[in-house]
Amino acid sequence: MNQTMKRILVIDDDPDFTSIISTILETSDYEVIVASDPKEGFAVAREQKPDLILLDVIFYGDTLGFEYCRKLKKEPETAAIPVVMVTSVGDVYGVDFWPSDPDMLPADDYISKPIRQVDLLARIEKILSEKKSGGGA
Amino acid sequence: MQSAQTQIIVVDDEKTIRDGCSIILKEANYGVELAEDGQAGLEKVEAGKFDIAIVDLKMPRLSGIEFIEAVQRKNIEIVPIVITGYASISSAVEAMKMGAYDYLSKPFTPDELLYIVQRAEETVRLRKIRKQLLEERARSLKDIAYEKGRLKTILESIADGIIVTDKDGRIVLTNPSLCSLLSVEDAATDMTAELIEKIGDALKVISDGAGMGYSKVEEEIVLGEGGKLVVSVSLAPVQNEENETIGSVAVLRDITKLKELDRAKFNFVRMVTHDLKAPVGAIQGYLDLILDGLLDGKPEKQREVLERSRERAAALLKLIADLLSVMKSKSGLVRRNFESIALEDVVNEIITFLKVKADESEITLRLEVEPDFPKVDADRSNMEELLTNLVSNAITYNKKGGAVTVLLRRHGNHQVIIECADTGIGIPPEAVPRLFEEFFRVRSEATHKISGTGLGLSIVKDIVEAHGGRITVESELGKGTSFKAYLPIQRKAERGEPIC
Repeated sequence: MNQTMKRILVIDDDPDFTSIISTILETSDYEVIVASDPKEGFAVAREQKPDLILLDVIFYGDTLGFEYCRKLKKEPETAAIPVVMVTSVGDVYGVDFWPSDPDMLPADDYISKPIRQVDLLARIEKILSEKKSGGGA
Repeated sequence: MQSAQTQIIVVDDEKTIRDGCSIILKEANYGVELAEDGQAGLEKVEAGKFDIAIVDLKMPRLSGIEFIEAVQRKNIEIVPIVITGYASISSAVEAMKMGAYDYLSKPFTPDELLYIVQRAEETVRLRKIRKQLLEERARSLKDIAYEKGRLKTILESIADGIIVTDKDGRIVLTNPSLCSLLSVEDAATDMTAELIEKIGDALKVISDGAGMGYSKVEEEIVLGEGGKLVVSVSLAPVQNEENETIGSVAVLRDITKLKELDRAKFNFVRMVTHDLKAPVGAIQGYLDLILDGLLDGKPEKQREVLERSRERAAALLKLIADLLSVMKSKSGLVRRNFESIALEDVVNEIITFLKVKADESEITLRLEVEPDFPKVDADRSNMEELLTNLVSNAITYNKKGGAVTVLLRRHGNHQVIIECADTGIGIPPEAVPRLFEEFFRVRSEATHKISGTGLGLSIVKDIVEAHGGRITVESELGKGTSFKAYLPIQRKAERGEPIC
């Protein structure tokens, strides 16, 4: 198994988004796995244990992303995998989040669409290097 | 002096007595009338207003005693004084037992007469005062009952729940609205421990703040699991003249619907933002791929990416058009123009318009109209939009070589049904209740590739309801779906009031 190539699981229902992210990540030598709905994504995460997960917030009009992020963090097999949630409104505390609900912030990091290549790659690198040096969660 | 001159009637069969008394009494400023016997005296007393009656015991026709009896029986207010004969004290006593106030025995002097009359007058006066006081009391009691009744009515008709407590926080008054708000029979006894605890804390704040002057506390209290009931509680202390807190008043208002509305609005805004940003994000992302050089030397990939961008742009425009439609409808800005319309003409137009799209999947479009199908009061562009959405959906979610049929027929005397039936992939039963929700789209294997805004059916529902109708859907997975819009033939209802 090629240990040097990091694997990133992208869970998003927008096929153009996953296509764009895949192109960006593959160009930087990441291996990309794509899932179009969170249930499928959860199953893939358990099986394949990627090094990082990019998870969209909204699926089918509901904030299912949060629910699955919490699931990933609870499940022992996937709890150690860093999750970056992708929101479609600029600020983490913006319209996407019900203001007073503490349950709404389970992920390791947040990034908002539209995603700039430079920004995305930098964050991913940071998280992966922290994970390596920090050991398992 | 206008205040009533005391009226006296002298009832005696002896003329000398009558005249004698008359002179004496008139001189002393009394009003005097005379009667020759008991019967005549009784008649006069019944007819007129006399304060005192001087009555001889022994008279023909009606004796003094009978006179007194009659007066008592008839509830006539009068003070009787009897005149007795020479040696008949016993009959005087008997008369007094019957109700006479006093007696004069013959012969009597003018002074004796006047003396007894004055004393009787005092009784008359006291009786009058007593009567007045009784009447006043009755009136006051009536007023109090009326006020109480009024307050009770007011309290009972207030839609908010009211709790009044004493200074120890015990409930002393509640109103029926409180009971229905909390779904209990008797608020004082049945109020949930939960509520008492929650309000109790707030009440304590008020009573602790006693003496700090008037203050009002507003709290939102969530009751039941999952916030089934959200209540806003306004508390104010009740103070006496010395500004000491002697209790509190809590007004509870049900704001559950308000909160739901808030949440719904919030969700709507979030959904709209997401759906508008997605296509723009995709287009930007693709442009960045090209401009950042990631697709250099890959012309086919570049072409693919540009075509995809064009598709997303077109979809975005459609979304914006649909959103405007929804917004206009919701804000009441839209002005509907009701005319008498031949719906079959509208259907034929739509069919012609959508034929190209249908031909792509070899789908047949058909219209079936009942004979004598009436013209319907409706807004023409609304009907066009309604039919476009229904027929377009029926084509999109259909199978290759399938069919879409629009049926127009009467329903009862006052309605018509516009039915749009297809031989398509059908709708899973769990999706049916949410079908007309904004942005709701069925997600399954079969619909994965189909793009759409999720607004079409909510627009259709809105149009149907604004025309005073309703819409139903029946579907069988794999077989097909039928939408039925019931519309009134004539416009009777105001916007938003379904009459069927």
